[in-house]
Amino acid sequence: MVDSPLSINDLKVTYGELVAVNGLTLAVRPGEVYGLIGANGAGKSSAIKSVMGLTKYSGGKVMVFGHDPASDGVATRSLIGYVPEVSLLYDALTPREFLEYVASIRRLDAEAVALRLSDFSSALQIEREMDQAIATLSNGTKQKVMLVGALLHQPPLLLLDEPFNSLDPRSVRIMKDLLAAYVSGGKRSILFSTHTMEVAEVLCHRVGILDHGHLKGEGTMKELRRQIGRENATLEDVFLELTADRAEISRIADRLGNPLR
Amino acid sequence: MNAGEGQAALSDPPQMDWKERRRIAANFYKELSFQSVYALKSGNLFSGEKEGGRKDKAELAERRSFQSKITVSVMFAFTCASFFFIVTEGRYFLPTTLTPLYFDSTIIAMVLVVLFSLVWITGLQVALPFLSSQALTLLRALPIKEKDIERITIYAFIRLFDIPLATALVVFPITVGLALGSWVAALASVPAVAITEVFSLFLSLLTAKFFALRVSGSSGGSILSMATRWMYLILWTIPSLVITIFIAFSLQILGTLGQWESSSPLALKVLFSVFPFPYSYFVSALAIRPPLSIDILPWVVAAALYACLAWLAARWLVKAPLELGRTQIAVNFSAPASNRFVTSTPSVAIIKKDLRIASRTPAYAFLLLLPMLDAFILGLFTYVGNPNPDLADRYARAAVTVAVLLATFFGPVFFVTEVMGFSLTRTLPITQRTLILGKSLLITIVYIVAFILVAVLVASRVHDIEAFLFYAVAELPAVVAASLLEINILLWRAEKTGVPISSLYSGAWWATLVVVPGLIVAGLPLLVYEFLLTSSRANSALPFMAVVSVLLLVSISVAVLWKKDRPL
Repeated sequence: MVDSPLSINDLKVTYGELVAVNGLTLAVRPGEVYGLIGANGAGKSSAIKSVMGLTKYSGGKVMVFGHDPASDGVATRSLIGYVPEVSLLYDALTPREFLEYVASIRRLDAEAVALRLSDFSSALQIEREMDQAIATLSNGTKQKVMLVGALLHQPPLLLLDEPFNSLDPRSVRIMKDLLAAYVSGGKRSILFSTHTMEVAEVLCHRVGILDHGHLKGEGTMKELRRQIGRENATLEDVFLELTADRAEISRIADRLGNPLR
Repeated sequence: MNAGEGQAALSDPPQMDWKERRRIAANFYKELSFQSVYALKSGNLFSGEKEGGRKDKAELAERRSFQSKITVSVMFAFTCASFFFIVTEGRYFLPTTLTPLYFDSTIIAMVLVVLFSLVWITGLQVALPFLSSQALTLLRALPIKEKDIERITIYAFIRLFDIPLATALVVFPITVGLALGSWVAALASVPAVAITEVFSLFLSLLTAKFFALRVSGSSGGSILSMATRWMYLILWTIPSLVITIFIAFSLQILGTLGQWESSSPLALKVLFSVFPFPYSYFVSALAIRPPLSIDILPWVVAAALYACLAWLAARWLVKAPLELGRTQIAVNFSAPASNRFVTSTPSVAIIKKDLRIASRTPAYAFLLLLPMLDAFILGLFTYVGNPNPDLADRYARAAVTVAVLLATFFGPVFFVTEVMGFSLTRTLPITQRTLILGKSLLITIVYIVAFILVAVLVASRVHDIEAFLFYAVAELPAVVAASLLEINILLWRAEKTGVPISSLYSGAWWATLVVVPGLIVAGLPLLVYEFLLTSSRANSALPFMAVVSVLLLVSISVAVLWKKDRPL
C-alpha cells in the first residue's frame, strides 16, 4: 500500500493559552491540490508549520509518506518543498547564492538544477534580480525566490503557505498553471493555505475550511455545496455559511458604516 | 469640528512635550530590543508550544537587552579601571624615560583610544539591528511631527547602550581621581570621555550608513565584487586593530615617546596636539600642576578645536539615527554574470554561505578577519627591536595563541548568521551534525589561515621553525574541539528556546557564558606546554601538548557528534 503524502490526525497546536489548532484531521491524496482556507488566525499557518517541524505541537500525529516529522525530520524534509507565509531568506545572499545553498543541502545535481532554474527565473521574470542581494528585493520577488527554492528538487509534496500573497497577476497566473501541471501526473501533491477564495476554487481538488483551529468542512466543491444545501454556492458562500453568521456580518458592516450595505 | 478643521488637524499634528516623546521612545526601544533578540524581521519564527504570550517575550527581550548592556558595561569599566593599575603600578616597571606628566598623559590617551574603539565596535553592533528592525517605518506612518520623530529616535537609539556609555563616564573619572590623587583631574576627565564617546558614536553611525549604501546591497556574482566588498569590510576591523596595536605595542610606544621627550620635543608636541592627547595632557597637568608655559598654547587651541568638532558631531548625531533609519540599501542592477550554478557538499555549503554573508555583513566579517589580523600584528613583534631568537620564538607562539583565543572567543558569533535563516535551515533536510561540523570547520579555517600568515611572517625570525610549526599544528585539534563544544552549546540553546543569538551585542551574556568552556578547552594544551617548558620535562612539552589536544578532540567529538543525525 502506498503511504498517503500527508496525513494529520487530531493535531493540536497551542501558544501559551492560545489554542491555534484544535483537533485538526485531514489527509492529502496523491495527485491532489488540497486547499486549506480560513480567516486570519484560523490556524492554517500553524498547521503547516507543524508539518515542517517549525512549530512544536502539543497533541496529535503528523505523517508524511509514512515518516513522522518529529522523529524522522531529515527524511520528511527531503520529501517536502515549503514556501512560508513570511520571507525565510538570508538577506545578505543573492537569489543565486541562496538557491545554490538550498541545492547543496539537498544534494542536487548542479547541471539539472541550473536548467530548471533558468526556466523558473525566466517564467517568473526574476533573471535580472538573480545576482542582487535579497535585502534589496521586493516582497513579490522574494516570494518568487522562495517558490523556486521549494520547487528545485521537485518534491512529491509541496506545502505552500499563502503562496500568492505578494505576487503580481501575471505571476499568479503562471504559478496557478505551474501548480496544476505539477500534480497532473498523479504522483505529486500540494497542500496550500489561502484566504483568496477564487484561487482555491479554481486550483484545488478538495478544500478544508478552518475556523478558530477547527475543521468546519472538507471536500470537493460539489461535496461542500451539498453540505450547505446550495447547488450554485461559490466557495465564499460555503465559507461564510460554515464559519460565520451572515446576520452578524451585516451588523458589523452597519456599525462600520459600510456604504455598500 | 467641521471637515475642514479635521483635515487641518490631521495635516498639522501638535508638537509633543518631552514626556510624550519619552513614552513613545520607550515603546520604540521595546521594539528595537525585541527585534534585536528575536530578529523576526530577519526571518526568525516563534516555534515553541511552551512559549508564553507576546507580552512575556517583550519583557524577556528587554531583560536580555539589559543583561547585554551590563556585560558590555563591565567590559568598559574594566578598560577604564585598567588605567588605575597601569598608572599606580606600571610606572615602576615599564621601561620608559617619560616624565610622570607625559607618562600619565600617554596612558590616559591610550585608555581613551581603546574606549573610543570599543564604543565604535559596540555602536556598529547596535546600528545594524537598528537599521533592520524597521521600527522607524511604523513611527513615520503616524501623524507625528518630523522634529518629534527625530527626538524619539535619538532617545531610543541612545537607550540601546546608555548604561555602557554612562559607565565609562563615571568609572573613568573615578579611576583617574584615585590614581592621580586629584579630584579636579577626575572632573576634567569627564569632558574627555564625553568627547571620545561623541566621536566614536559619530564614526559608528557614519560607517553603518556607509555599509547600508555600499556593502549590504552590492551584487553578488563575480569574485571581483566579493573581493571589493571584503576590502570595504577590512575598514571595520580598524577599531579592533587599534586596540590590539595599543595593547601589544604599548611598551614600544612608551619607549619611543620617552626618547622623543628628550631628543625630539617637537615631535612630541605635534603628537600631543592629536586627539585625545590634548585632553589627556590637561587632565594629567591638573593633578601634577607643572609651571604654566606658553608651550601648551597649541594644545589649548587643539582642545578647543576638538570640542567644536565634537559639538558639530553631536548635532549631526541628533539627526543621524533618523537618517540611518531612512537609509535605503543601495541597489545596483548588473547583468547576471552567467548562468553558473555551483553546488557542494552540505558542510562546505554552510561555509560558503557564511563567507558570502560575512562579505556583506561587517559585524560578522570583522570577527572573521580579527584573529588573522591580530595574529599578524603580533607576528610583527619578531621584527620590532630585532629580538634575540628565543624572544622571537616566544613572540611567534604568542601570535599563534592570540589566533587560538580569538578564533575560539568569537566562536559564538559564527553561529549568529543562523538567526537570519534558522527557521529556513530547519525546513531543509540537514542534520545537527552537518551544521556543527560546517560551523566548526569555519572556525578551524580561520585559525589555520591566521597560523599560516604568522608562519610565513616569522619563518626567518624564529629559532626553530619546525618546533614552531609543530606547536601550531599540535594546537589544531584543541581549536576544533573548542569550536565543536561552543557550537554544540549554542545549538542546544537555540533548539531549546527557538531563538539563536541574533547579534554579539544582544547576545553578549550568552556569548560570554559559552566562550568560557571553549577557552578552557582551547587553552588547556597551551597551559600544559608552558607548564612543562618551565619544568624539568621541557623536551616532552610539545608531544604532551599534542596528546592533550588530540585527547580533547576525541572526547569532545564523541560527546558532541554522537547521535546528532536528527534535524535542527
